[in-house]
Amino acid sequence: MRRNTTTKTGADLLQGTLDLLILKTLAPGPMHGWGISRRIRQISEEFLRVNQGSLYPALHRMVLKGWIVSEEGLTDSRRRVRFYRLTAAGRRRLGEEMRDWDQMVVAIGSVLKAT
Amino acid sequence: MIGSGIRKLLSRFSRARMEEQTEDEIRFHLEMEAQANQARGMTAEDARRAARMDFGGEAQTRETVRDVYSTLLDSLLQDIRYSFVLFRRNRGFTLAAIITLALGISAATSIFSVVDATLFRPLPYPQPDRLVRIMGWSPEKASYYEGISKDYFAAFREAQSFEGVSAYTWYPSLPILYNPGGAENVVGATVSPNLLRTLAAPVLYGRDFRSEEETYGNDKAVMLTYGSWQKRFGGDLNVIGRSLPFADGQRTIIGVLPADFRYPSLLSAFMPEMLIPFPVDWTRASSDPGYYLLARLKPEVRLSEAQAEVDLISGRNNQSLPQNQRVSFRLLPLQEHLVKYKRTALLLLFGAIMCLPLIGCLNISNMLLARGLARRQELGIRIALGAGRTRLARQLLTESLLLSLAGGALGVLLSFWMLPLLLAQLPSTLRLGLNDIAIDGRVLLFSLGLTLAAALIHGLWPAWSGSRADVAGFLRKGDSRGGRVGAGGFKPALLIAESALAMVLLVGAGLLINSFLRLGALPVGFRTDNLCRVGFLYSSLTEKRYPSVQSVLDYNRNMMDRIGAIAGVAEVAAVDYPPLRGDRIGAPVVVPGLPDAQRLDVRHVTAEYFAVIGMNCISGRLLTAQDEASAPRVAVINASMGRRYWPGRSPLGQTIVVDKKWTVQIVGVVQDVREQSVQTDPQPGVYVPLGDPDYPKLRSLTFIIRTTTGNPAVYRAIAQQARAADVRQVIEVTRYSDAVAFRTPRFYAILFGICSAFAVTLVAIGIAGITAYSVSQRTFEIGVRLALGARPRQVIFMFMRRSVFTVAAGLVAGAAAALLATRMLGDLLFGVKPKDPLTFTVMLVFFLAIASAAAYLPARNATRVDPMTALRAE
Repeated sequence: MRRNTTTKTGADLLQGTLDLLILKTLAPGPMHGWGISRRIRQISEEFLRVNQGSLYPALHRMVLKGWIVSEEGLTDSRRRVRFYRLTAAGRRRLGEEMRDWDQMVVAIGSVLKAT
Repeated sequence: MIGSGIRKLLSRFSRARMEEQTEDEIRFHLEMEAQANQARGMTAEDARRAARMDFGGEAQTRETVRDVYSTLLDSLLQDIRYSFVLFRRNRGFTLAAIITLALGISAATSIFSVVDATLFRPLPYPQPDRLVRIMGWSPEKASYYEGISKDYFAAFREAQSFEGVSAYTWYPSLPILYNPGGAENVVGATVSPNLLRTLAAPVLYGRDFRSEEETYGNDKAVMLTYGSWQKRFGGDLNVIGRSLPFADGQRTIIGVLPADFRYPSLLSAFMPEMLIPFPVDWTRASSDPGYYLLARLKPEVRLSEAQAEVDLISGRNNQSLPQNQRVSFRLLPLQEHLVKYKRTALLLLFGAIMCLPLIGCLNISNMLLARGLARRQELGIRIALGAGRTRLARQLLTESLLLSLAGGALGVLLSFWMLPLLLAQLPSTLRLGLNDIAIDGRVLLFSLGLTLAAALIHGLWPAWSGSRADVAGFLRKGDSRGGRVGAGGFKPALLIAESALAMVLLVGAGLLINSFLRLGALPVGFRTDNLCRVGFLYSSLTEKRYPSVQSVLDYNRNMMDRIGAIAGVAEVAAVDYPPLRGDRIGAPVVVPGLPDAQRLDVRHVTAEYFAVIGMNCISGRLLTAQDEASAPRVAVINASMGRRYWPGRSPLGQTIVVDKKWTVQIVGVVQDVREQSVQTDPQPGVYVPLGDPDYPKLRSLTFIIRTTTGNPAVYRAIAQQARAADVRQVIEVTRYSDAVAFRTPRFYAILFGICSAFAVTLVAIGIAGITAYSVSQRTFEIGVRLALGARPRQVIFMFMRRSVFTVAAGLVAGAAAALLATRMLGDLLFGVKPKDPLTFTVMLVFFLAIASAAAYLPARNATRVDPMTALRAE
């Protein structure tokens, strides 16, 4: 069972949008995995629940692509965990993805409005 | 994505830490989630469970993260491990596939080493593409000729396009060397002193020829090749400067050529022992026979530019000449000159042999496809468990690649044994070029390429179809036995393609074997078994050593007596031109009533000739020993000659003039024999008695010997006695059964025979394998059919039908292709047309019979299925 079928919210994120959300979430500053998932959930007011099964592989994939880097850091509770930070390449990517997203929204919107 | 590749690679080294951290990360995530849940009022237990449920599969996540980092190498190693497990499980198939590939690849490797050395590898000289032959060109005959006159030789030397122009001979010249043990013909080559400079070939020891050694009197130098330096002088460095006694005077050894020096001869078997300067008397205007010219183009000069200059030179001279004396020249790259006659033949052989690995691959591909069905279950489960289709295809291709590599490695090893075998059979007419034929780096590269190509050819389709395994269908049916699974596996297209290829080879083999048999069965007019000839190799009895006619006659008599005295020799005769030595121009014969002299096949023979050959007298009488006593006064003609010039009349008593010299009366007519060559129909011929002491050919007679047994000891004794007659003569003994006339056709017949036998066997194995496989897959169905009352015959037919029909389609396609392809055999065929319907039919029926037998044997096993067992197994 790959997907968490119990939460039938917007969990089935569009392929590719997860990367965008992660990049956007990391834009203000470094964050650990759980923080990222919580933040996405908070901002979208519980509508988007990031499937953890895809969050971590996605993070590692993005590390390999050079968009983010992972580094050791301490949490508020002084635990040593992995933090993720946006790189310059990641920031560029975020810009591109946002532009693409806007274009897509416009495109889909116009398709839906058309009679 | 290079950056990502490097990062992946680096991550391999910190794999353990990476996994540990991921572990930590997940644990931390779950704890935090649980805490958050607890803060919302859940019990500790519920909070943890909710966190876990929310997270999804932990193991799955770990696995996926690991996948992100796993490189191609990891999955490759995994695939290889898995492949080995499978190979062990299917030993029979694996072994068959490897052997098939090994045989195909080794055959291809062997023939490629011949083709590469001959056609593709550059000649063993620096900048070999600059070397050109300057050939005479005859526009009427559209053919090249060799000998070029001294004037043009001089003119081309002055030409701006060439760095150097040298004269040489590509056939042996045979200076006589007086050794302490007796005189001997040294296999030599006469060359312009600048030949080595033109070739840019270095001298190992000593010095190169000097240009003054081109003039008469100054030409007493000799250059040793490495082989003869080792053989004759034991590699002694002090030989340089030593003087050697030749028949035409003392010559000084000036140098030794390196071991890798190759003489640019058209006859690749000809490696001279010594090079001797070619003296030219530039001052005297003599009608010399002509020079064979080899030139090196200047680095910046293109072939077309050089040709233009040559044309200019000949054009200038031609202006002052009458039309029929004008000459033209063509530049021909040396490489091309050496192989031009045999390129097609070699490429034909190469093409034929390349069919073998191809057929092998198609066969393996088909077997893999059929087996792919058996693996449906395995592949289906892997897909269901989440293996990607590309990953699956990669696994299947890895298996093919491993099979191929094993076959290729074994094949290359095999070819070290197969190549000498091939070379031993290769007729000298196909051994051209100057490069050694060996399995070298280039050949190994070819084998590697072929191996990889083989993997793709046999693996691509099975990989594609395997990775598209229908999961849903497999899961629905729950087993692999339902439906028409077994029969659906192989691809008819592949079987059609391989049987078509095999058919082309088989037809080719059929035609070649047919023409070889025809050659052998041809009524030559005389039996060639137990027949041999003894003749001088390149030489004759020189006037220097045999000054008087009497000494020549004595030598010939002595030879006849010595050979005649050997036990096992039935009869000896002497002749000026031995039979089956190829076409000859003939001698002019004046026949009464015809204005022009006819060019006819005239042979001077001793009286025994007719008995030795076995020619029967048709009318009149044969020649006798008395006829030899004087210049020819009588002659015997053959039946063809009688029919042509005296149709319906008896030629006996007619008088003809032979060779402008001898007026002879026809005293007898003998039957026709194929004396020129096996392929040539009997020509009108005249036999005059050997007797005229002035006849120059008396100095180079050939002795024809009929033995009573084929015992090799007799031939050894003949060779021994023939040499003992004068140890200073170079004598050659040739058995007629080994005559060159048969060697080339036999080689082609054997080679195509082996290739096509191999190809047909492969196809048969393929058919048998596929049929056996589909039988094993359909036991249940067979059980049902038999239980319902199907007759064994029907079951057998059911299994045979599909494979035999498919092969039949392939054979028809192959026969159609062969109609086009056999045209290339052209002049290799004798007495049979490239479209010989008989050969086509016989081969078609033969192949079909083999295919049916191959399908029948496993199909018969189907009837041995016990219905009860088959059904109970469900």
